[in-house]
Amino acid sequence: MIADLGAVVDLFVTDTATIKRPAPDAYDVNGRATPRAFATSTAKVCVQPLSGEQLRRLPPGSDNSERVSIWARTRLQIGDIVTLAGEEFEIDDVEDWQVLAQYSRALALRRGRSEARP
Amino acid sequence: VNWVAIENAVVAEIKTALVGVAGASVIWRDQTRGRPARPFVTLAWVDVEPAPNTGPIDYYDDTPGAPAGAELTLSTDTIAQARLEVQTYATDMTGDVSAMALALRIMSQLNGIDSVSRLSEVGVGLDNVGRAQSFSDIFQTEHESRAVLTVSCKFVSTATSTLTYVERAGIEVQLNSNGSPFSNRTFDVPNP
Repeated sequence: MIADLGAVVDLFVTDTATIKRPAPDAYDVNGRATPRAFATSTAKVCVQPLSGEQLRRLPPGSDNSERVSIWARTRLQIGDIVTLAGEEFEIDDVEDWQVLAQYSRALALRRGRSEARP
Repeated sequence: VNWVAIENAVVAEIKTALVGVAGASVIWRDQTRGRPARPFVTLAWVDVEPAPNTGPIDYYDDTPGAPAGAELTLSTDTIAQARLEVQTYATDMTGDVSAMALALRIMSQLNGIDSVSRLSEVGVGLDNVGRAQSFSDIFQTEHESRAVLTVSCKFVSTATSTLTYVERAGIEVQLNSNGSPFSNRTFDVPNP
């Protein structure tokens, strides 16, 4: 570790989030996916809007109001479901600086909103 | 149609075709889950439609003693045809565990009389097992061996509704003499 930047992240905590980490996907004998199992934990996170650079790199058609940037001392992984103020966000991009600086920065997409629209 | 039974029977046949292929698995496609380790096979129904030139077939069953108002059952059979897309994924580009070899195994299995017989027991008729085509492509950092095989199936889907007997009919009779009506009578059968 070069620097404990996780301690810096802790200074800017905005939420205590519930993090659901999915177990590996599995299928039953008939080829159907079995219900997802999750390991649940909580972590202090700093939630921020996306930077201009991150907004420019979004896939075409993405709604930036549904995306947030999440910083945490805890290791975050793609596929984690983070609950913030009752809304679920799924992490789809992670910068893992745990080894060098003890923090993770993730981009997360709000779940279920697009499907709910007509 | 017991769709679950049909799907399970199809999976069982594909698994039979893959006996001896180490670690092979069979899954239904598009379930928003991660892919299993190769080799694996995905299945998906890509269309279902009424079979051409086989209009719906209506028939009645009379069930004396059934609850009043539901003595008759009207059934409508629709002969439907569906296409099942079978995709094979393998690590080896050549040899016994390449995607094309797996597709050939499945093709041979489904063309066998045992498969035809077992699938007919759950109501599926195998209509045509098409040719296997390769669609190998780059996956992550290496070539992935892939093939697709389309299987046409037919099955009968039945819709039913309950009816009752005709209890009363009205009959209107017009008697004519030299082209001119001279008497109209109306009957109810049975006469109340």
